[in-house]
Amino acid sequence: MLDQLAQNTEWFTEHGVKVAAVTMGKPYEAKMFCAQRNPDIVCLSNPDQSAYKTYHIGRMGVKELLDPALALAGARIALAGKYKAGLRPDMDMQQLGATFIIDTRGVLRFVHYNRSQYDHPEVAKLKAVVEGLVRVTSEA
Amino acid sequence: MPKHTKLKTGEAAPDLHVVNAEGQTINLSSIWADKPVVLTFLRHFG
Repeated sequence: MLDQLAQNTEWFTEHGVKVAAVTMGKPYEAKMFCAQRNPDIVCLSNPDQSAYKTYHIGRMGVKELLDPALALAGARIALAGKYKAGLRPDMDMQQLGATFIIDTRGVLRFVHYNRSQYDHPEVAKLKAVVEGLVRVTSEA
Repeated sequence: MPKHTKLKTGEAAPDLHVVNAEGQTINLSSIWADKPVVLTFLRHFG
């Protein structure tokens, strides 16, 4: 998901919206991870996963975890050398992701809980929500 | 997969302490205080 957002960060910035990412890494790992993709992304560190729990982000079951496609995806990541940290033995492989759009009043304008490691919202959907927010703000 | 009470559109986004990339503890709400935010939770360590 971050790669798709990183490719579109300029669009979001032009529309007055920040892009922020919560990772399970330590601060320096989060910093490196986001800097490699787009330095304009606000990167956050949450190794104890308290934010994931507070946002009620689910976890994969054992059945999904043993999916051969997940092992293949992990191998592809390792071969590409994209993020070695992704293969750390203490990584929580069962943790799923999620994406939210939050306005300046702290109201959730978009919610997407990933149903699997392959699931994420389409950037076009995120852009449509942002365009709606911008329209409301400019009319106010 | 265990059942969770998912957050819904229109609800208040929970606020809590998180650590930024500089290692400083901040309120998550400070991220959206001045501009809306696309906030994504990643599966990676980073």
